[in-house]
Amino acid sequence: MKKIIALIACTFTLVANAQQKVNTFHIIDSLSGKPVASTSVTIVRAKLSITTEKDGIFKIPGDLSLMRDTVILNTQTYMPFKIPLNRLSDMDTIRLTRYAIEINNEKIKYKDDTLLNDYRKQDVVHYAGINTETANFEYLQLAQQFYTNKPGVFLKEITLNRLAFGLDDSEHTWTGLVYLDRTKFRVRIYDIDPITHGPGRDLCTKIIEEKKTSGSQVSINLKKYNIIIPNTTFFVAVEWLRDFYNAGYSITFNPKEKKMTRLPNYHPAIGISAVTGEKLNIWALNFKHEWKPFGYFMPFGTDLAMKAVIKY
Amino acid sequence: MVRLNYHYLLFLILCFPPTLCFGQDVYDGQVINSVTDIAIPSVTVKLLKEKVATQTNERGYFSLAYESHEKNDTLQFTCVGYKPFKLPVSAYLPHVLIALEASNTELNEVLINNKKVKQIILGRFFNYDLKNSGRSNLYYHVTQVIAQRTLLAKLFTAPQANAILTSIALGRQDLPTSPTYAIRNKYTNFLIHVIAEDPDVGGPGDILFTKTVSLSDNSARVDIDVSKELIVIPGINFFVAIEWLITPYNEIIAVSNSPKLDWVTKRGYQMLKDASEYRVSYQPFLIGYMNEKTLKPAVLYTKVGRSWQATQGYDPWDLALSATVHY
Repeated sequence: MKKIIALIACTFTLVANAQQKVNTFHIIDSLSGKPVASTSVTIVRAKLSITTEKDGIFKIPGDLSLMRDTVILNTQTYMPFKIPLNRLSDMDTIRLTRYAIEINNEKIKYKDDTLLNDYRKQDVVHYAGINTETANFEYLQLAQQFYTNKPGVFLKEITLNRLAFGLDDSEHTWTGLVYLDRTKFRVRIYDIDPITHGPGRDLCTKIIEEKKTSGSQVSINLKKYNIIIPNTTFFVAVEWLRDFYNAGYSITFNPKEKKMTRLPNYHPAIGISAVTGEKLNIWALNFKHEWKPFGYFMPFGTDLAMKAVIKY
Repeated sequence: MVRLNYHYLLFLILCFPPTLCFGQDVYDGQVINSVTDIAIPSVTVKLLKEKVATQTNERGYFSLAYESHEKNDTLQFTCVGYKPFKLPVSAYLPHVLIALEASNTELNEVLINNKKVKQIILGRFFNYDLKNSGRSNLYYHVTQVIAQRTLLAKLFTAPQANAILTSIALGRQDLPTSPTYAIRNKYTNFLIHVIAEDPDVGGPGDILFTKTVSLSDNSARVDIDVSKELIVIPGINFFVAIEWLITPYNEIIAVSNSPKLDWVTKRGYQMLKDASEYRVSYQPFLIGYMNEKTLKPAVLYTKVGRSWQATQGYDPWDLALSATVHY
């Protein structure tokens, strides 16, 4: 946790300086009392977000009673926790409550495999997840919407393309800077929300976490999770773990101050499919924990470079 | 390499940095006319043993994916009106440039011999000038100057006033140079302006013509036909300017190593760990080359805020940007 605090210290000086008190918080499970690992901690107006390490600890420097901002804690299978920062001033422990998901996916035998949203990895040249001259990437998750012909299909596998500079040996090319490509991230599967038509409830109660050290293609076998899609559309999201392991930097030009700005930037960056569809199928979860259509690359870039294999 | 007396074909091979070539399972390149340098569309490109084929697009660009790595295979180029050409894959280099020889040279003479109208290519560059072998340099829109410089104009001097601009050609590369590691982006949109000379200051003045150029392939040479636009150059001096569009479509992402603080020892030593540092640049990357005729850099202007400023090119590099005029 100290590492990630050091990394974002430069941006946090907006609200505090090194001489001020550092407030330490422990995130624990309300029943077991054990630390809740990899919890997303987002300070909404300051547009800061980190992910805790395994110890479930996060720190905020400064006098919390003077801060007029809101913090949101969120992690899979727990109820989101939202509280004004000034109310944290007399707390050191935050208890998250696990919620129960009733998903009774009976074991059904399916026959045919179908590939959804195919792409050619050679054509992927644009990536989401990087601060650029035109916008900072201030999102917690990016989701690709898929469509099926009928409800009740079985989600077997997904493959996505991420930014990597050193490629797999099988790709017959140079392998320099491979060590800069390390990443781990989580995958979330969502049903459609009947009101927003964006991602809704989780369709998988278990944590799907993937680690990748080199290569741009990431294939994840989802068979063991027994995920059945209840409707004719579903979402597969990449959830960033904004922790020390994934942390790097981005350099952008700040036109107002006319100088270069160095900001934390977290792996992975997700490829954008070169096939432009008629409809935007990418959704992004912002720091307010609202799902919004992700139109950064429009009018092209309607889909992530992410494909799924389903079984009927 | 140029062999002027080659019996069937004249071919030029451009060798861009092989260190950065992604997707080695694709043969790609550009096919041009050996005399006019103009791209040839609809050339059939076959990989003979693997029996896969494709055709060049309107910029003469082809991209042929293959699965096997047969070392003895051959790329064959055929097109009506041109002599066929075979290239062993062992001689293939990324972004190969193939110059096909016309099979009926009389046709070319009919097109060229127009005594009433003269044609001249100003700032002419050749395909070997686009070769990146340490002799060339790139003109591109770098992050540091993003707020100030999105326009780069090159001065041309026509033989006489009231010449008509018929085409513009430029050399372009789809990735930055080493040592930065970057992802190739073949897609780009940019603007090209034709600008009259400001008689008071001698720099760029009124814009005569603007065109949006969209590219979606890795072709190194880009020909822009403006013959139907009837662009009359009022004086003898004029400018052709490239305007970069700072949009996600043109992004090129590069990475370098920028260590992050891992932990601090009891004695106060900072232990660092490698971390990525991303920078974004924007297409197009224009090619600079050493003009062996003049050994002078191009006369260039950049737009800073609302005013144009003369800028020194990379001495003695010229900018691979030419203009063809009729007079």
